[in-house]
Amino acid sequence: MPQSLDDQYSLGDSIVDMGGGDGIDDPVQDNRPRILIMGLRRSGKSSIQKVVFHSMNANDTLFLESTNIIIKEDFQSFIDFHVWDFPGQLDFFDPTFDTNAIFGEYGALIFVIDAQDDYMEALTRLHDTVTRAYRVNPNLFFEVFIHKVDALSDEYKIETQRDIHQRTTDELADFGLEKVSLGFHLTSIYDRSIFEAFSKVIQKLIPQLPTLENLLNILCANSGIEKAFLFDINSKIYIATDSSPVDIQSYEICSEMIDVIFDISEIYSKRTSTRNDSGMSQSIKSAIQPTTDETASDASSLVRLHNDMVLYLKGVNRFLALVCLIPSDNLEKHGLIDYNFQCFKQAITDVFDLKRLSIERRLEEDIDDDDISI
Amino acid sequence: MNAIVSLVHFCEVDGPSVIFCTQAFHKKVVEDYADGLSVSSGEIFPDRPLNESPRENGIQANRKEPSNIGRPAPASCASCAFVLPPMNTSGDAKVPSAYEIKGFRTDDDENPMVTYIGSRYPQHSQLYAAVRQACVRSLSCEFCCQGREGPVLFGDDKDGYVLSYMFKIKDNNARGFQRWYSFIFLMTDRVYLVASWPFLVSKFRTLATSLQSRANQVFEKENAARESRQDDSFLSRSGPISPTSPDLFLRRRSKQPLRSLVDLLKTKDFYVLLHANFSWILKACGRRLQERHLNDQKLVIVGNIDSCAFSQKTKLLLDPIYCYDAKGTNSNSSSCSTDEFDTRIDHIKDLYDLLGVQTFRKLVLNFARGNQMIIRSSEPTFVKSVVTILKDLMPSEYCEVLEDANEYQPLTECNILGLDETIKIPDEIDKSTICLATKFDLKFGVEESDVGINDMDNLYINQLSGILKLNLQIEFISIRLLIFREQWSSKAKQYRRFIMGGNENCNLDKEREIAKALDINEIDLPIIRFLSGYSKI
Repeated sequence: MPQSLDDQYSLGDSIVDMGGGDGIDDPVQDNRPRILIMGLRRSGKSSIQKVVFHSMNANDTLFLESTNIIIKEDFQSFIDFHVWDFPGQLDFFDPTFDTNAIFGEYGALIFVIDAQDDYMEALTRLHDTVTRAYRVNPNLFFEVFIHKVDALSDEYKIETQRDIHQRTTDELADFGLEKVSLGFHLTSIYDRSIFEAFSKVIQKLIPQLPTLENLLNILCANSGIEKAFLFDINSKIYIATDSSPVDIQSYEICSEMIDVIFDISEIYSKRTSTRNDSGMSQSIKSAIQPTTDETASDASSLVRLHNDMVLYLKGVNRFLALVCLIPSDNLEKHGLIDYNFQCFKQAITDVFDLKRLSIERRLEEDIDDDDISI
Repeated sequence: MNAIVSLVHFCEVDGPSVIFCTQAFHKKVVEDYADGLSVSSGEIFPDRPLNESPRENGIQANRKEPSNIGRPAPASCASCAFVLPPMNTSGDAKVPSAYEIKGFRTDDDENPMVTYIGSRYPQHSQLYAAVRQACVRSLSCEFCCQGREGPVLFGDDKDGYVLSYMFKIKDNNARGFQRWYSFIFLMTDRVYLVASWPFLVSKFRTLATSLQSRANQVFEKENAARESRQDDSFLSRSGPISPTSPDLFLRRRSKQPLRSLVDLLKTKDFYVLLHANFSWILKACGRRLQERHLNDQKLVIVGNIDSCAFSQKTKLLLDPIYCYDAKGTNSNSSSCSTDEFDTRIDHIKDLYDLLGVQTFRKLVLNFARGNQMIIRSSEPTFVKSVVTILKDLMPSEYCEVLEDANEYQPLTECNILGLDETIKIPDEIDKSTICLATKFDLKFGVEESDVGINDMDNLYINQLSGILKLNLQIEFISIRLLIFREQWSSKAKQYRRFIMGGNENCNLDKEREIAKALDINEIDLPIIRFLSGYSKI
């Protein structure tokens, strides 16, 4: 009996090490959440993936090739993901593709719409995709990125978002899928909005999110911190933040601070490998070599801003760093803040260990099951 | 060999699409296929007249996505279009405009039964489905290595097996400045495809590199032209390629369809050349390997399992079944007609493998001692080949050979006698002086035990056996044999000199001395005598 394409011939992932794994080599079939980036052709899917996960310069995405196959990549951080970038020309609900293998795993489906173009065709495809994917896997999270909004004025942005939201909910209601909740985000690769949007998507996929938020809340309350973000260093996506509302400018400044600090630290770090000057920006190369090693877990940095706020960065572990905005008055109790941070770090490590232990236990159970079956 | 070769492309608009296919047809099929096509006597044949094409356009408007089964969707964009130069008809200019060229037909010069038809899609809907499937898989699912060009083999029983060679072609207008193309070779026979892998990959690679070099030339030229234009007039908007901002750049590019291969490579008759190449590949691939059925043929086992005669030359495998066990009895099973295959033994090593150690040693012993060798078989080629092998062992001037004799000739006439199986050997001959070889059995002659082999080793036979026992390449063994022959020939020359020096009537002591001097055993002396030509004396 002929097997379908992806099932029989899924040739493994192209693994891009985003900062070292946690030592467990999981195959594709494990329970890692999967993020699918779909959309019409030329909507910006590959650019998003490159900018966010490979730290590519946004202007360099002009020279990206058209994607012809599904590019599967690994995103390793506090939590491990797969990110799949789809070519826009193919219809993946064709019977020759194994829709179960593609859409069946736990994760999120991000649909990218080009806001600068006429989006009616995109909407048709969106409705089509959502209805069919929901049929295959009702547990998928659906997100819509209204992309390339950097050239639009503010009113136009809001207008577009409202329009798309309206049409989509109407369409889905016609199909009887009111309970499908879609998240809408206005994004652009030329500013931080894409990172913010991605952060929100990933947060939906982290089961430990409430715990992390709680920890951050406690930390902030007891240390006089105004806003804290727990960042993944390589991709600049924040995993968690405390409960106060997120202001996009604070997010921007925190993520830029991480860039600056780690770029400066590169100057003074040991040269472990040679860099070649390729045509593309060097940030791509640096993304592939782990920029975080042991020093990241002990990193600490402080930047005083003009508005009497202080940006305080503390490395948590290999992948994560805490960046907080503290009013400069509160910084007088520096030692207290550091002590609180140590507790926080310990708590994060415990959560991390718990996750690892549960995976190990699950692996053992699988092995035991295999033994029994033999 | 039934196969389809085709060129496929990952189009910006349509995704994976088939550009061109070539298929081989045998004569009786072509006539059925030609309905709806007026087959002209030339190579290019025209399509239906123009009034039917609006119907096709109607189909085009209804179909948005190319469907996998059923009728193929017509070309919807320029980049995957199958564009041909207008037909050159001398004289009447009115006729060509009404016709649209649909494909090519090439007749095979050497085999009038075969024609190669080249067109956008294969005609049968099932084949179309298979080609389209292969196209999608080749460009969008399988890859030999991420982003790299190269061959991949995949497939299944339902849609056939595909060898796909992917490559990129540079294009100034394309995203990332390059586009993906792939050559596909589709056939149902997986084993044949795997066997043809090296040939096909090398041919596809040559074809791809030639296309790429041509495209690179055009690319460089365009780049140079653009730069020189930019130097001259910084602000002028001359042509579609020079934008004034990244947005306009992108916007402009997305509206324009990409160029077809004809424009990209600047070769007007690109598809003609492609069809010619594909037809050649089909023909050469079919010719390169041929399959033969072996009817009821089995492995020949001679002696015991250790000396199993599995000859590398398949010709020998096609002998009728012949079983010979260690005791010497033979049982002849059904002999099927071997008229179409000629059985030969090409090398003495094969003879060694076939006969087995014991029989071979006996053969050599008898032969080297000067007994007459009679090779008897119903196949003259077989006889000739064995005779040739034996003849090579001996210096030619002392060895008389008679192949293909009509009747028996005594030892005085010839040393090696090749006879047909039907010819009888007269009974009055002394059996110890002849050795009869019928296929793989030796009769008469002397045995090693007769000659007193138990006390000392027969050096000649041992050395020869030793060389042939080696499991090394044939060339190496041939060299060793040559060395062996030369060594013994030089010993023979020395012996000849010794005899000529007046030692004809030598006694036992002298014999022992000469044997020691020549570094052989006494038992080898008859052999040396034969080699030096004195055995007849």
